[in-house]
Amino acid sequence: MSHDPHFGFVIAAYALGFVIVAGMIVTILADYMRLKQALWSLSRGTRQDPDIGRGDLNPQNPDPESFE
Amino acid sequence: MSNYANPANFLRLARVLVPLSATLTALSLGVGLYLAWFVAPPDYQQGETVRIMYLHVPAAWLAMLIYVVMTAAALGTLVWRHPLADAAQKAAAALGASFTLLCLGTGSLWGKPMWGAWWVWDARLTSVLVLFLIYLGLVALWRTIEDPGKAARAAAIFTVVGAVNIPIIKFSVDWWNTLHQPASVFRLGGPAIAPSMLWPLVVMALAFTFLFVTLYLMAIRNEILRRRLRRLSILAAGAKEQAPADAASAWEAAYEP
Repeated sequence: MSHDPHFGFVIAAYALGFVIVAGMIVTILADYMRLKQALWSLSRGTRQDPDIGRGDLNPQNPDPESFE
Repeated sequence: MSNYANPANFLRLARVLVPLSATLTALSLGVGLYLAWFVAPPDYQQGETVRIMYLHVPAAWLAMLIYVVMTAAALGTLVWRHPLADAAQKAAAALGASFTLLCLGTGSLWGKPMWGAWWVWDARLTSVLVLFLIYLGLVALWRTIEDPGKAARAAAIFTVVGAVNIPIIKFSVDWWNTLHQPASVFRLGGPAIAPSMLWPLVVMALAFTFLFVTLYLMAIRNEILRRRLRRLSILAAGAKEQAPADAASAWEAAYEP
């Protein structure tokens, strides 16, 4: 398999695939954590910081999806 | 079904579906990669380079499928003015751009050894590049228009107009003389590729579809939470300034917890 002269292109394609898929997953998860933290801060009545994602994540964080 | 076209119900549904879909993604991707790398034979002309096809083709299918999903959501915004339709459309745009980028990148990495060029202004390649630019344009549109209602309508109109590009991508290889090969799976007379290569391709396409469903559910959930946060922030600011509580727009009221 690795004797193919174009094998490097195959590796590069799968590496690109890994980077893009991992990028999508990490971006969406990071956004979710940031939003949860911001909603938790707001529900506690804390002052709304313009940079809402900067606070430490509290392990006792109530799930913002259970606000209903 | 219409019960789930409600942000609160959707969040409850997503809580169940996301782990299930993620598990299906992991299983199908594992099987698909095994088949693509260790079971599928090298092509008699392309050699090992054919393995790029197992990424490139599913990415291309997803790039078009996501746009079709976005067009349906755009109609939901324009016809029924449903707030969840805009959230669904917006959540899909970045995913569509990512799958299109993967399609273009892997196609380029296949094209260099097979065609001798990273890029040619072929009808298929060019129309897919236009699709990528449309996705980027939509993402930019949502970011530049501050009013969510106006942004939703503008993006919906842009999406519906841009849908004309999907049949152009699909039939570009039939309508013009292109360097890109014609359809070999979805064609009259059945697939033209050997079953030993078709099955890994089908499994990888299934894995990419599950991956999209998982990420899409998560992205819609994020979009709902973002709108809920915006709504609560406006209400909190309004209460602080003794302003009327209806400072947030009616559009955002749908995300009230």
